[in-house]
Amino acid sequence: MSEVKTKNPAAETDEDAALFEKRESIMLTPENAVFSRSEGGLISLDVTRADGEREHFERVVVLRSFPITDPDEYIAVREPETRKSRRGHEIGLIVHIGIFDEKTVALLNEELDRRYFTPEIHRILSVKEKLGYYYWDVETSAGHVNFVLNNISSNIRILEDERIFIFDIDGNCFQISDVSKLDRNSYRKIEIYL
Amino acid sequence: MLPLDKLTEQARCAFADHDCNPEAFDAVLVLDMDLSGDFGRTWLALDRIRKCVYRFCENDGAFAQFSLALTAEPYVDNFTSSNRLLAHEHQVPAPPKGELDDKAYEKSCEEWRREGKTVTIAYCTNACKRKLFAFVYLWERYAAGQEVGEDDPIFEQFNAKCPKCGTVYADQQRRICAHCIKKSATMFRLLAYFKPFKLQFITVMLCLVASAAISLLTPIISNQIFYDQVVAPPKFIDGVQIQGKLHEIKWVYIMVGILFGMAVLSLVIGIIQNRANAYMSTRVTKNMKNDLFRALQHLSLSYFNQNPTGRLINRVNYDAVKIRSFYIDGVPHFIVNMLNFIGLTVFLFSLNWKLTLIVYIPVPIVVCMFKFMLPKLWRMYSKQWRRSSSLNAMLGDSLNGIRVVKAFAKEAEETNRFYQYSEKLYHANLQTNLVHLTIFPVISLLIGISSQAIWGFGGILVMDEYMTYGQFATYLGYIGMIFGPLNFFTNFTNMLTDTINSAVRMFETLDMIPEITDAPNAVELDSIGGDIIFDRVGFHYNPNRPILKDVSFTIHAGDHVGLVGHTGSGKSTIANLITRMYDVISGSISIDGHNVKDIKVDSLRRNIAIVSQEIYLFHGTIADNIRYARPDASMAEVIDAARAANAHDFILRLPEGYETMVGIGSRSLSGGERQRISIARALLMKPSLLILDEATAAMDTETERLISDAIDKLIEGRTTITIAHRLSTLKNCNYLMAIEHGEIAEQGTAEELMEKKGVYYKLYTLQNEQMKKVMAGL
Repeated sequence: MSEVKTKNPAAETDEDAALFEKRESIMLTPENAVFSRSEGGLISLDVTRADGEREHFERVVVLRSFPITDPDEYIAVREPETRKSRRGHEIGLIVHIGIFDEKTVALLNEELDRRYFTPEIHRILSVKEKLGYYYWDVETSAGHVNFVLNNISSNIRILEDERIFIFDIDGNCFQISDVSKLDRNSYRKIEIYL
Repeated sequence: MLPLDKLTEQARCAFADHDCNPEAFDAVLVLDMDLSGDFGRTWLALDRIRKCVYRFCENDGAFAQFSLALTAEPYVDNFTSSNRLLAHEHQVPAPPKGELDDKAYEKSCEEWRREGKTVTIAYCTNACKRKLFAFVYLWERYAAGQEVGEDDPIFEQFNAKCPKCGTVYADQQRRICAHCIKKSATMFRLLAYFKPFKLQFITVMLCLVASAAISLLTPIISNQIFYDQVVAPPKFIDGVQIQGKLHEIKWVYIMVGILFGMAVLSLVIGIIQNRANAYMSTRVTKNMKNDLFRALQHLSLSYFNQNPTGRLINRVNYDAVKIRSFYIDGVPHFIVNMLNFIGLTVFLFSLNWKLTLIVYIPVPIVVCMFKFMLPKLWRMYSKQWRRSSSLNAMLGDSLNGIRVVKAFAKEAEETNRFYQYSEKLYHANLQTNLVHLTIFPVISLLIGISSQAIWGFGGILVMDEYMTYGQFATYLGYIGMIFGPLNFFTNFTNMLTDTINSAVRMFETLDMIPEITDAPNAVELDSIGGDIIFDRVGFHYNPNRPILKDVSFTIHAGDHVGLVGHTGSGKSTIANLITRMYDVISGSISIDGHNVKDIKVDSLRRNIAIVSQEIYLFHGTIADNIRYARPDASMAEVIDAARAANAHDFILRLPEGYETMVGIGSRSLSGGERQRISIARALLMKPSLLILDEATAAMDTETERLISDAIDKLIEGRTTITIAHRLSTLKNCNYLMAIEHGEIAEQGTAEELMEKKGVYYKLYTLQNEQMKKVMAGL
């Protein structure tokens, strides 16, 4: 007997097969998908499938396939994962967010930016080292915050395009898109770690 | 109130203003983001009596309340840096399990899942993540009408205390108490390692003082006395002889003799100091490394999951060496340089203070140069270091994956990739070297200027007879010595910081308290019967991915239990929890009526043998590997165990039989062969409880059957737990449990499960069908 793939329970009858078919991910376009704000302030989706069948999702989860380099491309739309329910299935993919109208783009981007919350550091007030841990005090796009960093060399990542990502001890991520735009005092404080 | 967070006065008032009763809150949580996604404080409070969850944002004063009803399902949406607490509010309760058949149940669940609406309750960053998950746990418990006590295991992760002073750690992941660690205390604690070597230590110190004195005296003797009193002809000023007091040929020999004697003395002192040092330092390093290794061995598995092996190896090697070199090279040089510096200054000023001021003019400039240039150089060095380490990483990556490289014919691409890294490293190296080779000559020039000034001024002073030639030469000798200490002191602070960090890391490991320790009144079990009870066990490695959810089951002594389920369904975790590799997050596990937490870990693990999916063979012979758990086992026992594991035949086929070396750098065995050795290792232990975790996955079905039959015979009457996703592995089990998504989906004998037509039935028919297809040649 060989190994069994058990991801999708056995499709024994036609009915089950239909359910299984339905779960196949489709390309979402303005023609077959309508995104709207849900009653609870999240994102709802109405999908029209190729066979004309409509389906309503009260809440969907949107994910970026390439969150760092191509945030606007290949956006996955999935059912939510909750503790009681099963893993969320993928409803479909958006090839490029720009194919939707402005209002939808704004709605999706608001949700995506929340999800990939990466405050931009505008000003570095202080960096203090104590016992191998670095205590940062910064102004970010989301307000004033303190965070702690250890192991500087592996937790400050510099991308090819010179963007800087800083991962703190809790796993939170901060970024500096252009280090040369920082004011002189801030730059001096981060300079030695780059 | 449960020990999560505490209300501040301001928050208490804010809640009271909204008709809440803060005194009655069961738990309070403070999060670090507001609803618009900015940083700010948001309070959540649970009130069981009013069946409510309250939310209050400090930034905008927004207040809201949510129902604590069973139909409101809270969950956390977790991402890179942000977490969102949501509640899915259903119109009706979840469909009851059991009344419907499986398919109908699934369908009604699907419908139930889709109705209702989801609302956002709060946001937070990862800093509050663990507490947020604990809050959800409380919410679910309370909604289900269950009690949660202050001693619930869920709170242990937040409330670990410093064993010395009893304060709760600020950072629960890094158990260092800020109150109990002081830099000076760390240094003194390090000195404790040198305590057994008092004699050597004192010797070293005395030698240091002596050699400092010699190095200061030498210029006086060789210049001032030799030139002025021996070489120079007698000279009188106002009837007082100031030169040529010893102007005789014999004094030349005596002076040369003294100088030679001093050189020999300084050599002897140096040798004594270095020997004492070497004796002390090698012992200290050895002791530090031994202590570290012993501490590491006793830490719990979760520590090793969080800290990559490479980092730990580094810690044992690098940190101990770093500390040693600080005490061996750093401290003595510091003392020598300090003495030299003070001595030089005093000598120079007493000789001629005016000239000395000239000597000291470039000192501030040189110090500034060091201060200013060193960070820049340091930055270049770290860039160089980064590039060289990424080159090394690429090298390791490519050579480790050489099979893949060759399989896809990517040799040329890999070579190009290497060229790129190599090119980058070359540029960094070149730049650093160029700068280094420019800065230091400039610094030497600056130092040189002062000596040239001395030549000038000193020359004039000698000609005007304000100063003798010998004094002048002594000066020249001293100024060469003064910049050494300055250079050293600028580096010393870096060295000090590095060492303190190393020391703190070392003591952190030494002081780390294993998460899994024996309870004070833990019992010692000689043997285990095998009655295992899981009572509502919950477990996760990462709070966002629950592995086990309220798992309850009973295994009776002598049972042969099979656990079946998908990859990642939590089967192996059950094995890890029974052997107490990890502690449960909620619920409890008992063996023979004792909670596992009350059994001595040693005695628990001595009685349970586990053959896991990850097989590790130590460097050594096959026989040594089989005997690992019982080194005193006889050769006959080793052979019996190997025979039962169906390993005997293949072992004898190897040229050196049981004495074949295996492990790193030795003969490589196939996956199935390694599995059989590890089964033999477990069988030799004669365990009361045997856990086989996919132990035969890499073997063909026939071998598997042979082994499972042999094992059955060998451990007849003992409890066995077999974990597998292949049903044929579970052929000999008399009781089966199917695990799905961290829950026991169904349990019973194979016949019962077939009748139920549930998960097991599905698996069975699937595997059967595939078998049939294979047979039919499809």
